[in-house]
Amino acid sequence: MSTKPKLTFNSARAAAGYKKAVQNAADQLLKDLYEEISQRLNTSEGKKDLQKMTENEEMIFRRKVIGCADAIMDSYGTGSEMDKTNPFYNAYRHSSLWNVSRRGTVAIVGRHKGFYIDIYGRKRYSTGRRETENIEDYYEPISPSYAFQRAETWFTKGNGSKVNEVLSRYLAEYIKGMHQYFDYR
Amino acid sequence: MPITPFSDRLAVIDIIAGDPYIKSLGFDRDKIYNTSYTNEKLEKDTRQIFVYNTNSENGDIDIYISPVIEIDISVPVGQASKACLAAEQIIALLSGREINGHTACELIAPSPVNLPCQFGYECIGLRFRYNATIFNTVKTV
Repeated sequence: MSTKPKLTFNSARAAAGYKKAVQNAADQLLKDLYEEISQRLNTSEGKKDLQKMTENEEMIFRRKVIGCADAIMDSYGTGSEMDKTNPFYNAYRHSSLWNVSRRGTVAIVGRHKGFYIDIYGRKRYSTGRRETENIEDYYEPISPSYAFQRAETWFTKGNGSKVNEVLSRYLAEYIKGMHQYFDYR
Repeated sequence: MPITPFSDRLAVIDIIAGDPYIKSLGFDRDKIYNTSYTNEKLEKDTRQIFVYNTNSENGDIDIYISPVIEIDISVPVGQASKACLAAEQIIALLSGREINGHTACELIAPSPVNLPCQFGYECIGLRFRYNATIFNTVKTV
């Protein structure tokens, strides 16, 4: 005696497919964001200083573009050219990395005598001979390229942002292939 | 038409710089640059436009790539309305317009968008994409 075939929806496979689609979208966004920032950085040191990071948990896919010291200085500028709207500007000013001899200025000035840790985390020594003296003739300040800030704007602002566009594209492809999660037997 | 980013940017600059309304807003041709925005180029009390390529996107079909042209309009913050009016006009001038035989230019969201820039300035960014065929030919001298 033959039984009638049944149409069933395989929800476990569909959920796995959905996760894969979101993961692929996250990978694409990471690639695009990295390229966008890299293209906007003005210095080769800044470009070399960019890193990608991927973390996958059961339900959370994290993607990060990490800018180390040179990339951040390129994006936010240095010395008298520094962009003080940097959200971490206050934290920087109150950190041990800030040159306390910068009194009432953001210009690059000589440090007081003694050892200090530079922006790259290296231990350095200052003779203190030019303490508080503006030394931007020797260490030229960098104008901000706004690479991170502008990339963030294009990627996250409004409904038509890059994040929305890429997610919509990958999810539309997923929905187009939904038939593969139905079994008829 | 094959990929011709340099002449495409020049064509865009010609369209913008030749428009009487844009001129009336104070954007002179010598302040419209075929290069990306940098602070070093910001001149005090000057209205400037920067036209440059950003990363291309995949084309609608395999034989295409979609070059993306970004246009940044920079003005002193006290003249912010001029940047908005220029953005409106540039969208009208370029949307649906065919440049150098490519497919029509298409405005990309979230344009127009306010971009972070130097204190005391206002900067509005626009992005347009179009399709170019990927079959460039080898040129000879």
